[in-house]
Amino acid sequence: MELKIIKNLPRFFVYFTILVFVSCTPATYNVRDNFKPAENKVSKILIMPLDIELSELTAGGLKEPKADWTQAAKTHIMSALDKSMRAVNANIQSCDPSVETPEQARINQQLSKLHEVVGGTILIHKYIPAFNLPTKKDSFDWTLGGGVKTLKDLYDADYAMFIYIRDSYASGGRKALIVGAALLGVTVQGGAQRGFVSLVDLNTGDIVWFNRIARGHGDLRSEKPATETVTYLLKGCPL
Amino acid sequence: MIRFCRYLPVVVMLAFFLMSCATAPVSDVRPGQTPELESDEAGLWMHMDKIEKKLKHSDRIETDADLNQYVRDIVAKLKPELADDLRIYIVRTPHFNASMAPNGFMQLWTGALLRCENEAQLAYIIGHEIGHYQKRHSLQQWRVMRNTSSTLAFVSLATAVAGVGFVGDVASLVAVAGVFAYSRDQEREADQIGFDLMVKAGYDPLEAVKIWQQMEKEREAARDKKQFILFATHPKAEERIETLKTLAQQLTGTSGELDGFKTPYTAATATFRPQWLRDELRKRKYNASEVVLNNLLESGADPAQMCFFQGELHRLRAEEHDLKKSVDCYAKAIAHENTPAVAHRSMGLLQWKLGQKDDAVRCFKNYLEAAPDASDLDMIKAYIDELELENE
Amino acid sequence: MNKRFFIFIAIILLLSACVQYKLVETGKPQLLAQAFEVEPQINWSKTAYKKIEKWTVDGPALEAITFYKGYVDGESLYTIHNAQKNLPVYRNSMTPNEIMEFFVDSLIAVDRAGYEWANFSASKATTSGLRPFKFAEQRGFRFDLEFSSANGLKYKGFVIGSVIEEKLYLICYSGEKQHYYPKYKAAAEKVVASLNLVEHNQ
Repeated sequence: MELKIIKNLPRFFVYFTILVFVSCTPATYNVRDNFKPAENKVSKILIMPLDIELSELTAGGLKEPKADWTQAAKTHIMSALDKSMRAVNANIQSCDPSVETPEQARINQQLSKLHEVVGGTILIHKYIPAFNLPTKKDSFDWTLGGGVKTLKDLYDADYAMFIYIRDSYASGGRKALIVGAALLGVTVQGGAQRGFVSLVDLNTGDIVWFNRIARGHGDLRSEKPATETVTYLLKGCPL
Repeated sequence: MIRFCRYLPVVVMLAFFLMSCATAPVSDVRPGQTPELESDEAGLWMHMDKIEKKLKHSDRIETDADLNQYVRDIVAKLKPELADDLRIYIVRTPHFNASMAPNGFMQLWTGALLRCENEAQLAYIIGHEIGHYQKRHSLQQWRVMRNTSSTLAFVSLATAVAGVGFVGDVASLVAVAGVFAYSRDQEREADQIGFDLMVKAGYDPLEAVKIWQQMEKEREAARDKKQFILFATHPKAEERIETLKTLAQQLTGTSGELDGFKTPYTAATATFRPQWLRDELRKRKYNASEVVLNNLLESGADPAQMCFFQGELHRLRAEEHDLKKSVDCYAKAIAHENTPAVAHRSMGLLQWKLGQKDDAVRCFKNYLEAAPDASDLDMIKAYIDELELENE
Repeated sequence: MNKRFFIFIAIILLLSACVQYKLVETGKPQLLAQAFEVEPQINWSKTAYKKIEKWTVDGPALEAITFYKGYVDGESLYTIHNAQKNLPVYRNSMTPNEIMEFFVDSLIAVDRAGYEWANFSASKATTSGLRPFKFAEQRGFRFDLEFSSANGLKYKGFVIGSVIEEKLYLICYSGEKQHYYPKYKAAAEKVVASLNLVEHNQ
């Protein structure tokens, strides 16, 4: 079997694309089994460094990374998150790597990597029916384990939120191509928003909520539509 | 990456036809210069910053402080004004390659460090990469790619760039090293800069010639010549050798040390050689690796170690005459007082296969004597018991 | 682009048909390579491709028991098209030391070839503690393994193996070092301990 082809194309591009086209999972989000947030308490959410990149899709199909758009998107996301979380009695806090000792930084690095792998596992084995694990069929109980303690101690937060977004926008040339191609009956892909967000309980390491985004619209470049994206992203958040 | 590179010459050539009208000339980078936030260059830097972060925290970086300092010192010697803007990562990969990203991070692969005989040769490689940075070649290439609405460009670049997903896939980091496979003219320009910098810093420029000659030898020995696609893509090694020779001859009375600063180079790298050689053998390109080992031996590397790895090479290749050759090599290695303990074990396993049970037992015992804390101690003891039982 | 894209989808669908995970139920003996039986003490999700069978609970990238079932002289541990001719080859004459080397070199080779099935990235894989070990009451060996994923996440593992009737059998349990490796290690040890050679009927 030509397994190699898959490798030659970026794995997650493939997985995300499949998510868009063949996914039959009705809900985009998952909440941990029996999760109940603490009541009558202002919870503190540590926002992990945003892994976000906005790019412009050129006529040739090349994604050109945009530094200014990305920077603007980060600002908009943080302010929208702040508002949304306040509404549910939670405060957000940003990571500050400068307060971490080298040893703490190393542990947190491993934790982020573990989150990448657990996140990838969830995307593949929870969202793509063909890869479902019978051992996880009726449950959502992935965890990062006790390694979260370092983060908890450092920031005294209750939860950590991980956000990953890749957002692309068709350039003028690309838009013309889309219209032109459509006249000929050919579909050319325009810009797209892809990503996921997860909420980790810093007492247990458990992933208490996970949501993914994969759609052909949405805009993070300016404040108002960015708020819409964040609202969409926070769908099902149990806080 | 190999797949990608196959298309590359076509893309680059195609791109060049379009380039003349498509891109404005790019000026040299100034020390401390960072791009304007709105520019295409800033987007490129942002993307590369992400890749750099992944590379930095991947398990493929040689983190040894002394080795890294040594390499940084060479950069400072070559181009002090840019030294603060450049970050060097020594990447554990057994191929001869180095690469430069537009935001100032340089990958130096251990396969290149293994092959350099001295500091002058390494300085030439680093100088060459500094040349790419100084001339902002990758920005130029990026613009070429972007302005070319070729499907090939899309297939190659988009996959390579998009490849760095949220899982830090090192395969795509490697691909990135190839993304900015430069044009022939850019390589020539970088060669010239690398050469000038090494001469200015007091290195013997003829060492630059030697490294290409060495690569040529290796390529000739290799069965699968297509594998040599990296640093040596273009211009051809012969052309490089000729150009560099001519340049070197134009200089009268070179000031470089005759051995190209071999002593400090050996001091900085020798302790890593066993790991790098192990990586080299794992490529399973034994004919080419044989050239590398022979060259190391000729250039004065520790003979006990080199003979041991030659023995390993023959054992692993396992073709005609290899078994006998590996016995000979191990024997040579063992004759040296500072032989690696594992040479005894390798010899023992071979003797066992050859039916020389007494010799095998003796070798295993020598191994355990030389490495009393060996982590496979119990296994070796079991071998000895088995052999002695059979002999009774 | 679109053609390529459809090729992916086709491959993914094709692939999913054969990597589909099936339930391995607690207490129900499982036959391996028509030669062994093991009795799981917890539920596992199982998938198989050619001579490799993988059991996992939380996901193969987090933890898995991998069974390598019966390799004969001249075979490679993995099957990859392009890199096939350059993968380490198993030889019947190999000693446990060489089998350990064969195993790790195979991991590294497939890592370099970018082979997904392996689920390892073993550029700096290290082995230790090679020792004799009873494999289904047969003479075998065992060793420990450490490696990192492509993104630098640390993993731990152990491998047991034996050559029985000129066929090499290996079982590797590996998982993310901090949390997932310890989480299922005891369960994996129980699987290994339950290993039983099945009498050939024919």
